[in-house]
Amino acid sequence: MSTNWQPPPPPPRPNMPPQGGAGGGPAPAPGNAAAQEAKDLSLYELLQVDRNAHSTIIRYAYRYLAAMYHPDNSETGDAEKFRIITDAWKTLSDEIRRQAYDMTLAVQDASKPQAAKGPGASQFGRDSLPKFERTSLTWNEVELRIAVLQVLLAARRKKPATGGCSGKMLMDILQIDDVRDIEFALWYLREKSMIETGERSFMITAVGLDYLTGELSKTQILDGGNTTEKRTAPTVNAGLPAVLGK
Amino acid sequence: MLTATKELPLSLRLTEDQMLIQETIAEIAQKEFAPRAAEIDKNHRFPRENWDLLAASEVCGLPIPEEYGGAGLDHVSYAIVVEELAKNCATTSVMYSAHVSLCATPIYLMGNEEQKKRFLPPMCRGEKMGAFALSEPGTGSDSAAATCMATLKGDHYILNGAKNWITNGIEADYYLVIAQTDRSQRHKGLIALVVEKDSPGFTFGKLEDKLGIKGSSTCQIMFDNTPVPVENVLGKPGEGFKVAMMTLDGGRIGIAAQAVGIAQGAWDHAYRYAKEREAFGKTINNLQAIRFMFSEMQTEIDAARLLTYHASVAQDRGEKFTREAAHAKLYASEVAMRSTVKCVQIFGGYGYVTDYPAERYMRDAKITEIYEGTSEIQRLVIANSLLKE
Repeated sequence: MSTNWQPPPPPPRPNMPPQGGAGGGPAPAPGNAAAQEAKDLSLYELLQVDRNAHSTIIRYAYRYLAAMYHPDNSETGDAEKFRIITDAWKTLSDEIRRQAYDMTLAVQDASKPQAAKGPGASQFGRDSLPKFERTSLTWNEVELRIAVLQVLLAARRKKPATGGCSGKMLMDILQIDDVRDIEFALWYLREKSMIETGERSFMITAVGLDYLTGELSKTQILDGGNTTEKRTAPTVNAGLPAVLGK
Repeated sequence: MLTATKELPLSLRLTEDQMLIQETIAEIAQKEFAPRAAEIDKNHRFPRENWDLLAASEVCGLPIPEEYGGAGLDHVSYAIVVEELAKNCATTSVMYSAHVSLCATPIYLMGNEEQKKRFLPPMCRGEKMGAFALSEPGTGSDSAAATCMATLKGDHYILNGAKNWITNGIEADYYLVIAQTDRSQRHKGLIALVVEKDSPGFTFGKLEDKLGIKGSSTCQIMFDNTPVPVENVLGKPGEGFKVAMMTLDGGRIGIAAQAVGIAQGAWDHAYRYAKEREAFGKTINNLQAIRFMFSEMQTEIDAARLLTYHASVAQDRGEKFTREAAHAKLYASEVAMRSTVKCVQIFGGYGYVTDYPAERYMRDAKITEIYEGTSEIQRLVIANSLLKE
């Protein structure tokens, strides 16, 4: 009665490459062909995950593909593909390197505007952050650092343990369209330990907060400061709206 | 024998893919959803960030074939995902299961090619969220008595009326609405339409303040001369009741899985607590009264899970699974209620306060006995299926 029932065939995995490709077709593909193919794909496409995928998903996807392409696998092993996905994994598994890579991807997207954006870009939390009006075409570098720190401070004050913003959110809030406009400031702030990199986001550090407080008290933007210093203040923040007053 | 007419999956082993899905989703849910669950419950906040994460995990179209943008996986995998979500955050599991089994699946099953190509890919990508509207202020279980009217005018149906208890209420983008075309026809007059959010005359009532699943957005939706193009009719006019019943069959598997998840999640919390809490010189997991509670609960939860998988397997085999789904939903939801009450008892006084999650699980469990057919309706469905000859 129940003997001839077979469990359903194993379902295809999400975004699995067609079986032919996965099984390493009849003719063993020369290594450089695979490398050539890999060049056109982003690291996310190589690991077959969404651009916003959680680190857990990326880890499992790599594990799955690594088991498939590992040279020890007599059926589907492929040393070249294994090397390619392992390189991709090395970048995407490291939060800081992934963040940096995301920025280069954003540059590439900007240069070809018709390119499909990653679906479901996260929207949460943005409404709760202060809005900035851009006052000139490019930010003065010092102003930009302060603006970045202020945005990150607002996020961190909401959630002291984990509050931060992704690079994309920062660019949206500060209305910066080109990632190159902000990349340098983020590099500087990180080198100076004023920001740290958390799970897919940048967060202000205590050092950064102290620097911000120092800068703002110089320029008299902090609430309750005395008025005499105001006249001597440099014009660093001339273009910046008084966001802290809000 | 009435009951021995179907083959049972006697050895139910998860496939490697199913285990992979389970591990992945369990880990994400523990890392990301569990820490937020209490805050979501307290603030009645819709967890949009959880939705974004599910979208990025590519599970929003899990049982939908790949040609329409889904993952093309089976319904056991779907039940597994819902269970893992419910273990950590019932609100997230409700949002997810309403989208998948109450909106995307019926569009896939009943929609024509053009509708599937239009609606499913954005739903599978998580860009559009689905909702299902059947109950009305005056009609719940008796859906044939619907009074929300759809009148054909040229190439549009004009909708008038209200629908109640819409899960994903104001957050959704596509609403699968069951409306009445001719009240004298009762269930033969029902029609299923996909209504898009920005349609004229489509408004929302206040958000309901609920006992559990508080983060889930539940509200009334109202139509005032809302035009819906005839291209948005699922199936033929008059097939609305069929669409609704088919939708609910699948939906019940989702609710059963959710109930299993809530029960197992509460069990896990209670066990962690029992291992630490001391009384009479030892931790309470050594007390027989407590041990018996754990044994009873786990027995029932495992049985409920098997019923759920059984219904999912029947669905994957393409059989009629109305009764299997009703069995699973009826039993799992009652198990969830019994188990979570016991878990509160194990926590004692701490179970009664919101510092510990036990009471939240108990409140979340109750809804599984109510929506998508109350336990009484499930008994009716089972009886009708068993005793029709």
